[in-house]
Amino acid sequence: MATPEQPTPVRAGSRRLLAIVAVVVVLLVVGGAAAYVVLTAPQPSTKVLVVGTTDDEITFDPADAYDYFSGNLIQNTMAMLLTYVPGTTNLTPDLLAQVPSLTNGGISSNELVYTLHLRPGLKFEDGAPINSTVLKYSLDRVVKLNGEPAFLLGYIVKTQEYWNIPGDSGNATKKASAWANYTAQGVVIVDATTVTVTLRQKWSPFVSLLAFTITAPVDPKSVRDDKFYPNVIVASGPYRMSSYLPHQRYELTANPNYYGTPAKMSRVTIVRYTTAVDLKLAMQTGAIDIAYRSLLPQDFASFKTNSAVKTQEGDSPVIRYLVFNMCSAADATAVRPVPSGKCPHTTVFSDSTGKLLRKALAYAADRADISSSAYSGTVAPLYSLVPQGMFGHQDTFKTVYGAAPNVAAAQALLTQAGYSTTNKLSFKLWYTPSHYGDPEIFVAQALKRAWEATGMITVTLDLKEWTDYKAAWRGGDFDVFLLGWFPDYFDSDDYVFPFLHWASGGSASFGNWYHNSTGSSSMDALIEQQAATADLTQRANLFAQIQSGLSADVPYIPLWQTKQTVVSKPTVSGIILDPIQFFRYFTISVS
Amino acid sequence: MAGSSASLRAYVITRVLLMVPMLLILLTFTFLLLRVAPGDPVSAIYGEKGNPQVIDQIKRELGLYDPLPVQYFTYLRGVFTGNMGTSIVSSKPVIQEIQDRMPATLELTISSMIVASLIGIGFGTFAGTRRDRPGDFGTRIAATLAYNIPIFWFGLILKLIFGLWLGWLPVSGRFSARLNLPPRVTGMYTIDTLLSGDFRAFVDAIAHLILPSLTLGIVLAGFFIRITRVNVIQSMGSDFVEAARARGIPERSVFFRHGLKNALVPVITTMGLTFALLFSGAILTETVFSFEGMGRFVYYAISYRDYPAIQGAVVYYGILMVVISLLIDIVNAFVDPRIRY
Repeated sequence: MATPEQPTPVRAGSRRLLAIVAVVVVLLVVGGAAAYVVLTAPQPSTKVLVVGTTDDEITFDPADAYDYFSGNLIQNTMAMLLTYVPGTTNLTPDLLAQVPSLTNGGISSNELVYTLHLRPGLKFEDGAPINSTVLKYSLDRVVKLNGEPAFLLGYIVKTQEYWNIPGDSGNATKKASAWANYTAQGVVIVDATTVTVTLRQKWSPFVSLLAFTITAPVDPKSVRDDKFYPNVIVASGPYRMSSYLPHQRYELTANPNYYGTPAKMSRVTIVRYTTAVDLKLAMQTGAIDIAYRSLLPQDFASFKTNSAVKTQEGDSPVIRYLVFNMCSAADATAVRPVPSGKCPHTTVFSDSTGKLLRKALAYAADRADISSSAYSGTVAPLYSLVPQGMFGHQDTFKTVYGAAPNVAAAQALLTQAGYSTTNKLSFKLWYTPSHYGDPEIFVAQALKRAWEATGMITVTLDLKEWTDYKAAWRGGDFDVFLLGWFPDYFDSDDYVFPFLHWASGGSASFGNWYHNSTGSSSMDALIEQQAATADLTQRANLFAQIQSGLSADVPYIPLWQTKQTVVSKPTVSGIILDPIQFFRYFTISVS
Repeated sequence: MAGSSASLRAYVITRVLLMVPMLLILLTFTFLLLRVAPGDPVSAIYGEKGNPQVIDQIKRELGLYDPLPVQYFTYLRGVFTGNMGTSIVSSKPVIQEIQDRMPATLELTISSMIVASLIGIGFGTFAGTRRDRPGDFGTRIAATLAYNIPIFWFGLILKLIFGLWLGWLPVSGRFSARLNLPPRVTGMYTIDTLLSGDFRAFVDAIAHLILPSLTLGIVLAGFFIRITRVNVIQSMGSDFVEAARARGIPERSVFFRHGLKNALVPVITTMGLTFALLFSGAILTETVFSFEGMGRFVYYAISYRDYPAIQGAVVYYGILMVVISLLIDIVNAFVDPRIRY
């Protein structure tokens, strides 16, 4: 049965309704666009540097900050005790009057007491003084709150005793007593601008910690010592945080009370984009002056050919590497003195045969393929866990295994281990698809290609999202997997101790279970010696031995070191790409 | 009339009282589901560089070592005193995290619903009054396309056309970086700029909303068009419309005062629920346009197993859903007396 025709006035009415809707929508779009273009055109008088990023902040409290972007904002607004000479890894005084050393008496002859002299007349943005009382308060507060990075101060005397007592009401007296012991001995006020810090054992990386955000003085008037202040910055550095919208936008204005060279720009706005595509589009449309961290590699490559913008590349302290699970039969049954406990099952990469396999994979790895296929050539090959630019770095993997894949050498070792083209070594390579960015799958594919080129290996790729990935590797579920590392403090110690030191649980915490821990020339002993050595020549020699041991045992294969990439308008100047990745907004200007 | 008003009051009181068990069930399920899910949230977050002492302390602070009933009542007490806990990831109060993101979601939701309602009702009515004619076919095809279009892709296309090629509209974010932010009153830039009397900034805030609201609005409109069309067809073929016509009421009045008005009752109910759903955030639209709203908050909270944040978000969202459902019911009961009895 046919549908009866609707009377014409109804259709006319609905048509009119539709026309009204269409007019309203078009007016909204076109009117809005026109008004936007006309009214919000940049004003010639606008003096603001706009930086785009995809990084996100977590907390601005130095006692709790332990991620790159939070740390970077702290570094630009709160002066550190020491800082780095721009573009280098050399320490230079910031709030302190000098870099403590044996020669200037800043480090005692037994290397346990560090004397910190503050510059006179330092002030926070609100005019409050920065003196020895403030410095002791700030360091004690880190220990008391025991936030995420606090363990870095664990070499200060009596900290461990304080932390090891549970904070429940039953232990209140013991806790108070431990706290009194710590405050009396750990950080001691000498005079109005001087404190001493006493360590429980020699630990030369302590000087580097003085340039890390954890030791930045905080204003006791604004920041109590019984809780974290994730939203508060009382500036002592070149900029103050005049306002910010969490996860979206950060306004920096020059700090009039900063002791040093004033910031180049009176105002900097940092805008956070949720995707790298948005960051690229913002740069292309001129919405921002600088795009820093993190453009996609292919987008950066595309900007390099664009004459309308400037591009810069620099070293970065971030390293990427492959981890072998070396859990052996002995390890699987041993009771380990580490938090991670026993490794759960043996793998083919353990024991003497496993060593042959690890070496074979090191010979066959193709770093150039990873760089070109996954990163459009924007990363640098890495031949040691200690990256290029850090103290003591040596390309030991390049020396032993070569810069290019050596398939013949890999095949010889695989044959020696009992594998052939008919009896192939077969394993899963694990990666995580989003934590390290989109290129990770291409990295895994490049490794698979290189290893399978031997004709004696079959690689299956598998993945887990980051949260599950972390749980799995720590539980020993993976045999071979990809990881990355951004250092806690900028000392080469942080590239060897956590990875290779067995007794502290370092290697186990990486799901690696490597140990070469007995005897005076063991890896553990070498690592402990370098950390306790202030003499640079002696320390460099120890690092050479550690890296040599690393390439001989191959518990990890260093793969590449990321590069910092930045795109800016031609009117921007003063960008410095530090090897430690301290991005200084205060040296940048836009004309 | 007195009886009618009393029945409405009784209905509203009953619905309000029913909110309490509904909320309790919601809170209990949220609590239990997160506890039975595999994985330990603190270890998951601090995995790579986890300091066992820190992990232990945080677990103790979060009460994760307490017996489940103790955790449950602590959690309920917190919710009813407005304390949703502290995010494990950011150390910020969850309520503050929600307040930080809520304005972005509100602006996006309201503007998208305006676009979706205008297009949905306009085209749905147009198609409904032309059943099985070319206009109806065309509209239905367009609606199906709009509803099935991948929102991520659609957003990128709009950005490319209006942002990059034509340069008419900003491609992302909520406000130009070169302008000064208005003083925060509501957190919604469209309102705060007006309150501060800065027209230039107001236009900027509106311009930043156009592409995201068109993207989300057009996709939702596909759904609304189909619902409106069906209800217009049903309504215009119903007995009361025939009766109105028989009484000699002009056709235009029959359509607007009787047919369309009744057709829109179920449409408004659906729109209300969609509106409530959008308050939980439109993760894809937010991501495409760099809107830091509730959708991304919930996504990251789940990714990092940030228990307090997830609980806070679910509680917030649950309360919102219950309240909006209540409002819809009250409006419907007011419009249609049959509902209260």
